[in-house]
Amino acid sequence: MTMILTILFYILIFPGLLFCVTAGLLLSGIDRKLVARMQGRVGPPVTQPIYDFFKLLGKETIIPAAANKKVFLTAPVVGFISLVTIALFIPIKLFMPMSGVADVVVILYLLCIPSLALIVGGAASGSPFAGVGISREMVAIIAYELPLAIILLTVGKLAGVGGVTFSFDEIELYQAYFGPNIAHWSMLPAAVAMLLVIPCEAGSHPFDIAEAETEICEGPLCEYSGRPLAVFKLNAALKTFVMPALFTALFLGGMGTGRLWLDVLIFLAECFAVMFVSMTLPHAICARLKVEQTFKFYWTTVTGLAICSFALVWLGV
Amino acid sequence: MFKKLIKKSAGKSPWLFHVNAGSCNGCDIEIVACLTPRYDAERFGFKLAGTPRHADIIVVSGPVTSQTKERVLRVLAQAPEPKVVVAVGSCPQSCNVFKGSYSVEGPLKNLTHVDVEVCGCAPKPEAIMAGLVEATKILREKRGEN
Amino acid sequence: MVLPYLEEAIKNLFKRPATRVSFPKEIPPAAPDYRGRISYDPTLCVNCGMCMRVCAPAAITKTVERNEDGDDVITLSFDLGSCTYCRTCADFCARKAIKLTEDYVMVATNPADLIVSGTFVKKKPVIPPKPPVQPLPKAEA
Repeated sequence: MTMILTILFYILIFPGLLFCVTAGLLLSGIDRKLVARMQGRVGPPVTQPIYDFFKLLGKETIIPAAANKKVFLTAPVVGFISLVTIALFIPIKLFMPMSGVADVVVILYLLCIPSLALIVGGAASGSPFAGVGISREMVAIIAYELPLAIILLTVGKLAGVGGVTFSFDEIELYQAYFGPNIAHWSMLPAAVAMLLVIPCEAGSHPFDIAEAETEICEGPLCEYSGRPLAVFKLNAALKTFVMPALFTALFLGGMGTGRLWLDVLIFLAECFAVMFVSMTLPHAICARLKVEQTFKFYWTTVTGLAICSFALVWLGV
Repeated sequence: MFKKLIKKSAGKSPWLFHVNAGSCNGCDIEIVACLTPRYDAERFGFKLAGTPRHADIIVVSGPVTSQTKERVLRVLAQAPEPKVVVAVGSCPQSCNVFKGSYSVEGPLKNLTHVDVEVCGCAPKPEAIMAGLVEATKILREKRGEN
Repeated sequence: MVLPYLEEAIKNLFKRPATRVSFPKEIPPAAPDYRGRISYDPTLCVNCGMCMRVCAPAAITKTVERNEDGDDVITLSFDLGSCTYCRTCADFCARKAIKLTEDYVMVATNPADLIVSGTFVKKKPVIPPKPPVQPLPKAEA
């Protein structure tokens, strides 16, 4: 009985629904404020995404006549559920309540689902703008999945002595004994590659070729309004928490202090630092890349860095 | 349970959509100037949305010409309730110097209910922001009624 | 991938923002000689009608009523929603009754707020009685 209650606590409060939604909304608000300050403006208050979400809950939901109603309404919810599930499995410095259930490969394919939800939602709305948007989102997914898989293989090879491991338990224990993964100089190219994969996955400038683009009337989200749109915007905010959290767990893990609340604070501070370097800085100063440029960049530069790191780790250096 | 929070958020995060109904672009330049660092409309939560389905405030500039009349009506129909219509400049209010022309349909109040009018030719960005802040107050009242 | 303005972006984090933050509490003053809201002084007006003649958007309208003394009650209305703020009416006014002030925030939810009008009474001119016709002096033969 207490085990069921404990598991429900993990799923709904920490590190599940409430924790990751709050952390995602606050991190996304801090990101917007910092971008404004870097551009010399005052910027919205830090709680602005919370106001956005509740305002969208109160708007009327209009379903276009050409849309497939069931798919249109359930696509954002599927993306939301998969993102909360990923947040359950990411370890916070040796606190891994559910790690027996899932490992890194599960995270890799769960990460595809929110982007697929965007594609399916856009396809279900029946608008030509959405059609253009979903083809760009497909290009983005193909572009970043390749380096991401190579990076995960590299971390697995480093952490598994004598073989490749995909379990979070072993990766965290390895980092607890030998220090954070980023301290090994053979992992530095992989860390840089992962920092470049994060903005494309989370849909932030200069790589947001699919979502939220005013060139094609907001792409796949073109016909959404009201509650489904609120859930999609919540997904985008959750991704700004989940992606830096994954980076922190893979590269910046470690022993941590013994106390849980201090570990959580340090974890959030590291997430913020990763988000600042990979999402906020480029957002403030760069313009958006073209579709061909993004694809070429990811398949040459970023994949090259990941393969370089993989080769160094394989040779045992 | 969240009704009070929803009512408060309606005025704190208004998203704009700008329709150019045949204007000379003077008012359009001033509207976009509101988002620059000097006047910064984003600190009140304003954001330009790419599609009228995401917008709360529809900002119209220009006298409504025959070619744009149907499009303006379509954009207004696509915006979900509650919404506010703001007429920027003196063209949507009375067609200014283009009164009686063969291609101008008439002021915006012949087509729809206009909530806020900002006068000027072209109005300064501070005046446009004062009009938009007034529009968010009307948005909160409309949200409170539902 | 080029990273432009990186140093400037980091330096801006520690400087004050460039926004004029005083906006919601006070309105900053306009540049000198700015053409803003119209102010009309009916006591100086003489009803010549030049402003109506030169106004391009036809924003000025006049109504004349005759009251019981036989005087004209003249009301001029300036529609701020039609005006182009070009100041031609003020330039042509012979008595300088029209001025464009520097007040530029003209926001209204009720269209009746946008009309500036003034009324004055033009008294009937008092015509002195005609003098009797003097016979012409007879021409000397």
